[in-house]
Formats: sequence, C-alpha cells, structure tokens
Amino acid sequence: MESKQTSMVKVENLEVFYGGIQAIHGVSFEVFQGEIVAMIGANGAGKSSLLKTLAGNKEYRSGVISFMGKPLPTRTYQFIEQGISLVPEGRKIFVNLSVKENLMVGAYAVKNRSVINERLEEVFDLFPRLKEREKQPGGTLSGGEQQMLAVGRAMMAQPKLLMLDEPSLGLAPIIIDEMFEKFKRINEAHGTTMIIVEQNAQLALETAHRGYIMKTGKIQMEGPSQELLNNPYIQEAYLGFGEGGSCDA
Amino acid sequence: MGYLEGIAISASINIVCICGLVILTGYIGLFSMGHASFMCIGAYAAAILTKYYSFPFIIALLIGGAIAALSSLIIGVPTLRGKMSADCFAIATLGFGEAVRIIMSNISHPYFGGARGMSGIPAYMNLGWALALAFVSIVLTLNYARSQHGKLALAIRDHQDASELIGINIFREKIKCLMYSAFFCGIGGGMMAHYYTYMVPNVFNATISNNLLTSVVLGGVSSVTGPAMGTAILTFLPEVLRFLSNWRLAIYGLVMVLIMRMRPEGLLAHKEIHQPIVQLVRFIRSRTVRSTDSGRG
Repeated sequence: MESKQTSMVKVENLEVFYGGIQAIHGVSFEVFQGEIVAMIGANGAGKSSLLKTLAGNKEYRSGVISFMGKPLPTRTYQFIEQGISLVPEGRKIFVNLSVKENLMVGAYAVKNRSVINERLEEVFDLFPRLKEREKQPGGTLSGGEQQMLAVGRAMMAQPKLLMLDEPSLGLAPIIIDEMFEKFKRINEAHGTTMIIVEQNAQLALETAHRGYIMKTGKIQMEGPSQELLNNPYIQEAYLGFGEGGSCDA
Repeated sequence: MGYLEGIAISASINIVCICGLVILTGYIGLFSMGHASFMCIGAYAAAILTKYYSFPFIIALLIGGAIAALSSLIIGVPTLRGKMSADCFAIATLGFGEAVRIIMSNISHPYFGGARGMSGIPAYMNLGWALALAFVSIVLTLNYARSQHGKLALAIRDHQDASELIGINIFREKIKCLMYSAFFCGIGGGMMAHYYTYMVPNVFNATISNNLLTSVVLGGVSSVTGPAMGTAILTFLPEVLRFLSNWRLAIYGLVMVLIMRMRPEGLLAHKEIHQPIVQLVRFIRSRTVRSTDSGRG
C-alpha cells in the first residue's frame, strides 16, 4: 500500500545507551500515518529499546524524535495523552485485576463514561474471548488471552500510534495468526498507525506495509514489505530460506 | 472487664492505623518501616489541640490526621519521584521514623515536653469511640480499595512500567496512597494519646512500625479486613499467651512463622471477611428476582 505521506513519527540520529553500552547507533526513520511498520532483527538488535524510547520508557542520549510534528512529552504517563501507546514485551497484564478492570485501567485518561463503554464494546467485539472472561482475574488467562487483553488495554486509550513489542512471544501458532489478523483489522477500522517488533519476520512482513531490518543497533535495510520478503539476503538471514531449503515457519 | 476493654481499645487503635497501611503496603506495594512517626505526629497534634485549645475530640483527631498526611510529603516527595526503587522508600521511612522520634524528644517547648513527654491529655477515648472509629476506617478503606484508586494501586504493584505506559501518573498515585496511610496512622496516634492520657516520644519507636507492617503482611495483601483481623489477633495473642510468662514471645514468633509458612500471601490475601455474606445476599436476591420474573412471565 502506498501510504498517505503524512509523517507521524520522525526519528533522526537517535542514540540510546544502557549505562556505557550503546544499544542504538544513530538510527533515523520515519513512520507515516495509517501504516503498519514491521521492525525485524535478531536478539539485541535494539528493536525493543527503540520502542521503549518512543513510548517514553527509556531516555535517549541524543537525537531528535518528533511525533505529529511536535517533540515528545517529558514524562512517560503523558505519552498516552499524545496518543502513543506501547504494548510491552511479555504482556505485563495486571494479574490481580479482572479482565474488565484491566481494560478500565487502560482507559485511565478518559473521563467520559459513555466513551469508555463504547470502547469497551469495541474491544469485546474485537476479542469476544475477553467478553467471556470479563470477571476473571487477568492472571488466570491463557497466554493468548493475556496478549489479547494487553492489546485491548492499549486500545482503550484509542492511541494514534500503537506499538507492539514481540506480540507473538510464547503463543501457539494458531493464536499468532489470529492476533496478526486482528492487528490488520484495528489498522483498517481505526486507521491506527502501528509499529510491530517481531522475531517472526515472515508474519510481520506479511502484515505490515513497510519493514525495517535492524542489526546491532542500526537500520540495515528498509523498504516495502513485499520487496523485503522477496529479497534473497533477507530470505536467507531472517526467513529461513537458506541453502538447506525452506523450513516451516 | 476493664482489662478486656483495654485490649479491645488497643486493637481498635491498631485497626485504624492498619487501614491506612493496607493501602500503602497491601495495595500499592510500598513497605514502610516508619509509620509510627505519623502516629507520633498525629498524636501530638491532636493532644495539643484538645489539651491547650480545647478542641472537640473528633475535630482534633481529624486535624492530627491531616497534619500527619501533610508531613508524609516530606518523605514521599523526594523518595517516590522518578525511578527510585521501593527499597529506597523503605529505608528512608526507617530513617524518618527515628528522626521524628528524636526531634520530638528534643523540642523543649512546654506544649511538647521534650523527652519527658506530654501528660494530662483529656481522656476522651472509650470503647464506643474506639469501635466506631475502627468501623468507619474499615468501611472507608474498603471503599477506597474498591474504587478506581484501589485498582490503579494494584496495577502499579503488578507492573509499574506497564501502568506508566497506559498513562498512570505513578508518582501521584503513590503520594496519594502514602498520604492516605499517614492520615489514618495520624488518627490512630491521636486515639492512642487520648486513651493513655500520657505519652513520651519513645513510645512511637520502630517496634510499633514493625508491628504495623507485620499485621498487614500477616493479614494478607490486597485485602482490608484480612489485615484488620490480623492486627486484632496480634494484639490479643500476647495477652492470651500471658500465662506462659517468658515463653509467650517465643510462641508468638512461632505462630507468625507458621502462618507465613502455610499462607505466604497472608491470612486473607485478595479476599474480604464479608465476601461470603455478600455473595449469599446476592444469591438470595438473584433467586427472588428470578422468581418474580417467572411470576410475571
């Protein structure tokens, strides 16, 4: 899909450190409104650090990040008001709260009761399984259901930019496909811009419009997903179409 | 009867203090080792108001609680800001507790009486007041815990990062919980002052803080009535075991070890005492509603 060329996130020369260790080396990229962008790369490539920085959960040493033409807010909790939301790696469900309470906490910044109920219905419509388990504590859900809840919780704030950190981690393959279908649906229904960080490169690129390949804190390659999927180097390094023939993903 | 009444009043005072600490420790997950200091501040404030300015008892208690809540900002603002860990808070409160006790011992102003303490505080406290205040505290705290504030506190305890990412101002929520807890400890301190009619700063030492913390952990996390029951047990137990003379503290310790061994999350973790009753009432109501529905149909 050719994206509407309205810039949403613009990152220039971003450098992020953990103590003395540099995780991101001068990364620049741009995400446009309404598109799904996949970030692919091995462990330690800096994908998660990038998302955390964009969500305000990690401070950066240098570089410029602008969101909808404005600089990022200073405090983490203010990011959601601007419309930036991150579904963290490992889901981080509130295990002691019920499914509904988890969602209600997600709508923390919304004061209007009817808006909250409307969004609650939308989330239950998207994930009917959550409706079934409305009163159950979050900790008793299966991995897939917890991921649905984590996405639903983020959707309660109706973000403009939804970032997903390893949404397939530890899920059964059938659930993973379902999840990514839902991401497409959210994107189409609300025009939500998404950045998906994924190990499952094949699936992420099939879902996304564009992709970035990260390696050791730098962006190695970028382009429309179809192009990346057909690139022989990427096929070999990330999609498992090596010398030994293809292996099932 | 006077003896039993005395224990009941002590237990009620502890319950009032616990109601505050439940929110801080059981809900948002911050451990305080110095909440006796807020009791101390509340006690002195209330006692001075009733003794020297002849304020009505309840107003003095409330003002004492409010002053304790405000003073909690002194420790809360610097330690709960930013990414400071909960351990820092625990250690800072330990220091704060000692500091308040020592400052109170050294105020030579005649109202305070320094290390000799205050005496001649009007004896307003009786069993009726004690039980009423304990009951009101429990109801208020249950409501607080059930409200959105309580849910946010639980969310922060579960995953601080995730709650910040969904837009919760963690600092504000923590301060809110701290002030709430200090308020109730302040009231508890005021009750104590008007019960004993005499107090020295050394009463509010680390042992009291530790006992409060123990009751909350023993009673159960994310429960209000559990810790309330826990503190009642811990207040009565040493008295019940008094016939064992020197062995009673050993037995007291053993009971605590056994409870924590068998119920690591506390006696009533995530539950409330009245829940079975509420469920029963709901069940009966749903039965009657159904029967009237079927009657209509």
